[in-house]
Amino acid sequence: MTSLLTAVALFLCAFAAHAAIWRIRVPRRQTRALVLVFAGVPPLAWAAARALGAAAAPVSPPPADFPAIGLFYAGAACCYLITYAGVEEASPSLLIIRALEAAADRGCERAELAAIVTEERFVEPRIRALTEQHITTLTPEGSRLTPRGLWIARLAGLLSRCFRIHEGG
Amino acid sequence: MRGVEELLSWQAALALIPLLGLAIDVLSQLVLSRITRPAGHVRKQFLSFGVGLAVAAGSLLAALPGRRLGPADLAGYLLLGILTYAFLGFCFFNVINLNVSSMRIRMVMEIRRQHPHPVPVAALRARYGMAEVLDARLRRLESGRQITRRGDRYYLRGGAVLRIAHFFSGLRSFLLGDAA
Repeated sequence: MTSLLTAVALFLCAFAAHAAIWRIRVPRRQTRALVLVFAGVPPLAWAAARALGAAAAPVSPPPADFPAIGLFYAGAACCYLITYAGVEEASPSLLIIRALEAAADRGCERAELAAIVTEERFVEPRIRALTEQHITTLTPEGSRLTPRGLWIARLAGLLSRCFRIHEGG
Repeated sequence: MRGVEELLSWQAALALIPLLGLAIDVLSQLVLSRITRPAGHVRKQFLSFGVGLAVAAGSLLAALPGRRLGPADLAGYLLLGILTYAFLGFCFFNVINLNVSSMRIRMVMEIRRQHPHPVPVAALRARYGMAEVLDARLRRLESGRQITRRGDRYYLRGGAVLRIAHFFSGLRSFLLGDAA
């Protein structure tokens, strides 16, 4: 049970650090900052346990459990990173649902929903984000993939072929 | 010394069980995508996740009882393994899902088709016309029974997407405070 509690505590420490930083000031490059916070907490916790020495021993998991704890933590951190994308950028589906919830029994016509799902809200920020994340470069002629973008596109293409994925809205 | 080695080996193997579950999940997804129609990817993903979960949970249940652990440790290791598998499975689910619905991935694929020539931003905007996106999302929400259409109006039915929307609103307010 110590190993499970250690893994959960590590994740909660990282989440608390992230929330505290975000409350003070939201970093400009949020995903990179999140990765740094989640990668930084385990070495800090390990250093703290070493500094405490014998005092930390009763609550320390056996070293043989470190791979299992590490995998749990890495998996949870990746899940949170994926989830956080939904905080950073609203999805059209979620906005539609919120609009219908606000309308309650009145419901919404398609035109009302079209006023919410706009190009300014969804297309422009994504084109900007691709450039900010160095996936594309903007030239006067248009948008072009960087080597990183090309690598992502190849990976996405490979996944689409392997799993026969078809795009859709 | 032999005891230490034994301890190391079974605990290391324990860390591998969620990875085994993930491998089965990916493999099942591959097989399902080959033998079924291309549509209905979410159902296939749930099915393959379930197969991986069954393998991971079964392996943990087969491996743990022989280790002379107390009930608390047994429950702890079981939960640790199953939750780890769930996290990895969630990541895989999202990797597949991104390829289906992420506008950014679709833009990247569109730009790749023209590579090394640049794609005018106006062409990207035109390609991702919001009317098309809105219709696709409404169709998906309707077929997923999250919303319903009566006449020319859409109504909320509740369900998972509404709970997800509430979760994101709550998390956003918690993290960003007044800025949300």
